[in-house]
Amino acid sequence: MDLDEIGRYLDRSPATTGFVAVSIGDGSPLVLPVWYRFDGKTVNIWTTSTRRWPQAVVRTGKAAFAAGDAGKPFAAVTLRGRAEIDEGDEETILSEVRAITSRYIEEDQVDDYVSRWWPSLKAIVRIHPDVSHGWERGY
Amino acid sequence: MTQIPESHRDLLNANVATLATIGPSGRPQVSELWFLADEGEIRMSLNTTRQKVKNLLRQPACSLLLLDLANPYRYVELRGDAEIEPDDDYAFADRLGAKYGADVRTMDNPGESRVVVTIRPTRIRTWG
Repeated sequence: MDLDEIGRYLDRSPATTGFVAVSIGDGSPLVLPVWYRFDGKTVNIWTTSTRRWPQAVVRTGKAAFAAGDAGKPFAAVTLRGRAEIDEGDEETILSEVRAITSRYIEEDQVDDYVSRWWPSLKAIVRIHPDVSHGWERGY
Repeated sequence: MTQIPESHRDLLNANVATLATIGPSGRPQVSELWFLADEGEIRMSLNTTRQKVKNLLRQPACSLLLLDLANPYRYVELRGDAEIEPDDDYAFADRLGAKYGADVRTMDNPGESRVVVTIRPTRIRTWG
């Protein structure tokens, strides 16, 4: 896949769970499933700075991300790069939170879902890919 | 033997696993891949040209996740080290390929080789 194809794959509907990986304190990797949105430049993940993996982002400034098909043709994307945590303008963050959530649940349920987690979760981790690979047909 | 709690042992039937490794300069790398629950262990077949293999040879620490596709809040994460052994005769690769109805040999270029990667977990966590 070229970059445009990678972007389209990450933006596909219905949305699927992505996976973020970071390096934790002892230098080993940690991976977990996340909801995400690719805004054309960064992979954005709704979270909070109090969790272990965003803290690793703050400490290392790095993260990796993957998304793929669980069945044929096993298309997939993997990327890695600089990562940062955005806890700035609440309006901007909330807008991104809604955009991420809208990818995964019905529009009329977004407000209710967001209100359950906001403001406990009020940060966005943004991954700026500098290395990315995609396969239309995996393996 | 990898002891996944019975509550999440069904995830061994998942179609793909997600594996995270650490690359040069401590950069994480993550990708989804085929796997096989093989004789009580979780194993993968990897082409030796892959970055994952290079990473694991340098730094065996890894993290593997099996997700319940029907419930993204339910998964098992295995953290530990990867044990790597040659699979020059594709003995394991063939067993893994049988799970997916695929001939793994066709995925390799002439002269390339494969290894069996076995996850040796030091910690297993379940969610959901």
